Amino acid sequence: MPETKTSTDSPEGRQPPISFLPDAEWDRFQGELARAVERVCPRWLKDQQEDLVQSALIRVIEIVQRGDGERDVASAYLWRVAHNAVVDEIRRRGRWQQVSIEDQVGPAAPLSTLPSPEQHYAGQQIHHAVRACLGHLVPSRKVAVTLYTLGHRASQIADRMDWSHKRAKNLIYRGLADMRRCLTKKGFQSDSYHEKRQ
Amino acid sequence: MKSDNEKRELALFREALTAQPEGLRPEASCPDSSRIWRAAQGNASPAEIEELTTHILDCTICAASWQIAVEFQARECEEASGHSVKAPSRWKIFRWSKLNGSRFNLWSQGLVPASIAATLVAVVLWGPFQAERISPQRSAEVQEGKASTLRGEAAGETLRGGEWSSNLRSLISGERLTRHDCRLRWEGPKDAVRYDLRVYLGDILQPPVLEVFGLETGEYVVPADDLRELPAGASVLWQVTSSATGEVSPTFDNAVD
Repeated sequence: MPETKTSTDSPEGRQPPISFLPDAEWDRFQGELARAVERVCPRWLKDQQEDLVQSALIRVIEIVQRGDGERDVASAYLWRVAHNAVVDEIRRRGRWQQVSIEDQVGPAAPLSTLPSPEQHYAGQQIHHAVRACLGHLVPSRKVAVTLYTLGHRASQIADRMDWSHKRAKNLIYRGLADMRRCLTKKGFQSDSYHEKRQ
Repeated sequence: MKSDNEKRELALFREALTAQPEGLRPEASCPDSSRIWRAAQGNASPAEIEELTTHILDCTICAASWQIAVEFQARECEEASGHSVKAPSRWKIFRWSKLNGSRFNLWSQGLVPASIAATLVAVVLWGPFQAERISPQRSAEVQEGKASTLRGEAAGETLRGGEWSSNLRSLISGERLTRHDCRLRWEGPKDAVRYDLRVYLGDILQPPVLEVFGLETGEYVVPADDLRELPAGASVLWQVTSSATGEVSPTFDNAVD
């Protein structure tokens, strides 16, 4: 059983920051959180990824301490709090980003990785097209493809939408086919999406 | 298993949802992050999910929030299952109980043996047929540049029979199991550190009776309770996915006494 920090030595009578979780678990959680954020961090926040994780960790500590004190924190609770913290942080930074949003990659990116104006424009065009095509899908297919795109499995989509598994898979399959047709009509060949963007 | 093209295509769609700076909105117009978390977790009505989906298409930040929720929930799930080796009660298991009732009314009506046999035959025949039916059209579309090879998750989950090359294999092929020790065992590539398991009762075209995510060993004992509707001698069908590579196994089947 990993050692757990105690809260009695805090000057203000409050717990030290990570007292609600054993050290090993907290370290593991930090690592997992960093990896998870790295995996899904929006491109326009990539250069602020580490700050985002740190801010979220601080928020997690604050929220958990404000809440139930020294209780045993379930990992499900921790991840939920982390999600809220990361999202709040993204929203906060998103508002700042609106001021100078033209720079999508951010100042920390090496020059070699910066897209040329043409590539940047092409990327935006594809993004516009994808969103427009998604928006024009039949509602059920739109939901299915959107959820699938965001990382849900067919079985999860079926469960959330009260569909049969088979129906969910059909909607995803047909929705994606519609997407390809729509993008083709807009001048994007599916096998060259990426070539156009690079 | 998704091909590289499929993965790239999905990644592009995902990026389009989350990386459009003009999609940024003032915070006030966005749903609360807890609401997004609950919806992503499956604790929202279909109508609410539809409403949020519509919002997401216009809102980069909420799309990113949803995606993060899905990722975090998967991590939490893996974490829970990591502990579960010592404490099985914490495994993240999805049971499809709401479907069991309607499906297994058939069992009680005596249609079981015939339906199992018919379904298994149909599945074996249907898999290659389906692949053959789809492939020429799709390959023609791909050649014409109208489509990529994206087939969605469906292919990995349901194709059975035909030619299948997989590094995941059953270690109990042909064995009869008992419902009180229905121990499924398999082995995968060395880099497959975690597995997801889906278990079906007799019909792979129906949703699985349970899904277990993040197993760290190639072994899982299906709780007897989940097999209570399965008649003696009928088959439990199961499929394993390697979390590291996304590789999906063929569908294995074992009779359960």
